[in-house]
Amino acid sequence: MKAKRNTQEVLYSDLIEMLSDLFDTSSDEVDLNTSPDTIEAWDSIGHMRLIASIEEKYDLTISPEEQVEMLNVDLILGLLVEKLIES
Amino acid sequence: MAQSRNSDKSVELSEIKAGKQLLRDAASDSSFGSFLDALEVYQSTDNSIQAIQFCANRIKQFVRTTEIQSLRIAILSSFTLELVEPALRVREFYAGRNLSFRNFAYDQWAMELNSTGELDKFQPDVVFMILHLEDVVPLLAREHLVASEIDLDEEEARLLGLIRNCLDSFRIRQSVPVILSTFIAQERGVERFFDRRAQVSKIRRISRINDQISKIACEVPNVYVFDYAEAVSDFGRSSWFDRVAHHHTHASVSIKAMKTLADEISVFLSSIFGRRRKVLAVDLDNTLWRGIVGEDGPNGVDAGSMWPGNAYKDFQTFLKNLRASGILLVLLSKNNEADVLEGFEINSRMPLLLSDFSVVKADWNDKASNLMDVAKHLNLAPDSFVFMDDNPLEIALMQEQIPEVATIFAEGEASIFQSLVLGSGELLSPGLTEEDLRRADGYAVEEARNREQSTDHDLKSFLAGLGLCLEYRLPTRCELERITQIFARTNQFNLTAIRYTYSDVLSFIENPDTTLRIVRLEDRFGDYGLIAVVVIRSFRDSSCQEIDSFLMSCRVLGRQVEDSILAIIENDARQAGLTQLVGRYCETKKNKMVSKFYLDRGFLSSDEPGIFKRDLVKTQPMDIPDWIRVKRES
Repeated sequence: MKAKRNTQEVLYSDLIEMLSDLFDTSSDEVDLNTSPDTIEAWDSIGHMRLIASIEEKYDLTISPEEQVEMLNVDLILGLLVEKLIES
Repeated sequence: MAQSRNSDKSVELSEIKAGKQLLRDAASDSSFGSFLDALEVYQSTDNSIQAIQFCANRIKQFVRTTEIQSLRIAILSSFTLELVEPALRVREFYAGRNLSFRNFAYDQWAMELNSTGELDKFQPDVVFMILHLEDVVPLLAREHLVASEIDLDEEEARLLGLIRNCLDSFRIRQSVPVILSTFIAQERGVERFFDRRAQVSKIRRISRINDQISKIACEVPNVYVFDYAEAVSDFGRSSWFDRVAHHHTHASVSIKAMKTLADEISVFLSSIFGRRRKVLAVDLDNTLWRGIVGEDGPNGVDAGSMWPGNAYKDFQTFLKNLRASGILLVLLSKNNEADVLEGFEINSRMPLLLSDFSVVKADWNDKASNLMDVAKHLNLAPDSFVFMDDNPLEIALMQEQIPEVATIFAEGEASIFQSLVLGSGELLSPGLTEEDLRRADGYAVEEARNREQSTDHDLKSFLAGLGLCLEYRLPTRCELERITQIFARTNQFNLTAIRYTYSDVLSFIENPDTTLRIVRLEDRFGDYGLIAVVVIRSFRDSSCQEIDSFLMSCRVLGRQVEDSILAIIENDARQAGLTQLVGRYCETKKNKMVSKFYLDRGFLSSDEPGIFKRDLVKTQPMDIPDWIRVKRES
């Protein structure tokens, strides 16, 4: 999986797949505005799962401060771009 | 094992995607078998947190349309353990159980155990409790060097008193199994180098708490101990705990450890709720010793104290322990019998002796037919067996010919053979009963009886010579666990095959309308232990009694013990002035041997299938064979 290059498009589509797998929703229902308010399973435990899953997939650490900022898909994508592409 | 990335395996992305789609399809419309296959295939390509959650969701979808035995697990933890749920769901599904899960976190555990609340409402089948020292004895965990000894003592006593009180009050309401866990500190502090020689030793205090946990488990019925501290050590303490998450969200166990924790919990639950297999049938050459005795000769095989024999020697010692825990060993070897005998004779300092095996089959027959012979000889069904061999062909043949037999492929170095046996979990027990400890030797005694029988042509005089003594009475408290075990495991001589649980057994004792009796048997060769259980139901305002359950261990067949037990029940019913005795039979795949049990003993079939009746007015009392002496409670 590492072979795939991390472009913003790839990060976005992988993120959508991750959310739909973790929260058991169709990927059609996930977009940049998706947030804990729009998906029932994205509760505080769900948020922990999501963070652990991102940390595992991209082999990075997300600090508690960053964790509370990840309020919707757009913000998460921004964080990933910052950590994985811009750095 | 815990690292769940697939990148190092370089699985093609397309392969993962295909497996995922296959699983997605199987979840909505497929048989149990093909869904399980799809699950295994996908998991073998992707084992990430995301993939495990996806699998858990597909399982949830699948069980909506397919009936699977459900198990309601309540985990009481002093920190949040919600994250274990997906991995546990997957693991439990593999074990054939549909998980219902509820985590009561933080300080809820004491409250929920103490009084009726959410835990009772959840109606758990089992309660698993994992507490962290940092949460429940913070003085000891965090500041034992600063705190006074008196305060530390007080804190410890308060915790143990609380656990004990909580369990006692929970036991009044519910009798389901409770599993306590041992304690381990999340890290070693500044005391790491001097703690062992310090006056106020942290590690000694922790061991003392763990000793008390064991003591509580022995005193409160149906309480087991999960050695959490050892599980954490196996994994590695510093990766198990997540300090940042502990402070931030109180999810103190790292998500990397969840898969391992789920495995540990699930294997432990299997040892309680699953059926423990009874026999390990094991190959000889390159499984128990290195080399092939037929080719290398008795001096050429190696299970000595030097590499590579030492790994085999240790595995033999492991099997000796397994035998002592109540598992029978059987040797299945494709060899000339004389070579095998000579091999054991020349290498007589090996841990395993030929006499440790309940049966030795050394010939050139195929192993499946030999195993069937052994099963018949031991009066056990093939699904009581686990078969282990280093030859993949033998494993495949066994799987094909007797699918009920569990198989272990002894692959790789002999050093890991024992972990292969342990990992299957099917030979493990959460608590050993007196019978477990005696079982393997019991079969050896049985062999001695058989030898005598084969030299004695007149069966009656053989039986008379045994000096059989049968005890029929109410069970004592410490026999309840064994009774539950008999309900769970007896397949062949089991008239109705109702699988009563520990809670049911307790309720029989309290209910005046049910009579629970156990039978113990001994003869001059030794004690057979607790060999049969009966449950009899009476009905108010009725002169009829019904035998609800009648189970007996097959190893005492051929002595008419079953006739004696039925006669005792029948005679008791007469004495109580009843006019009719009803026997029930429910057919299962395995209990055909007793399908005519009541018919053959003067009961008449009725309009209802499986219901047999005996009129106590028009018939004579049933006889107890005169070679059996009956002892009743005084």
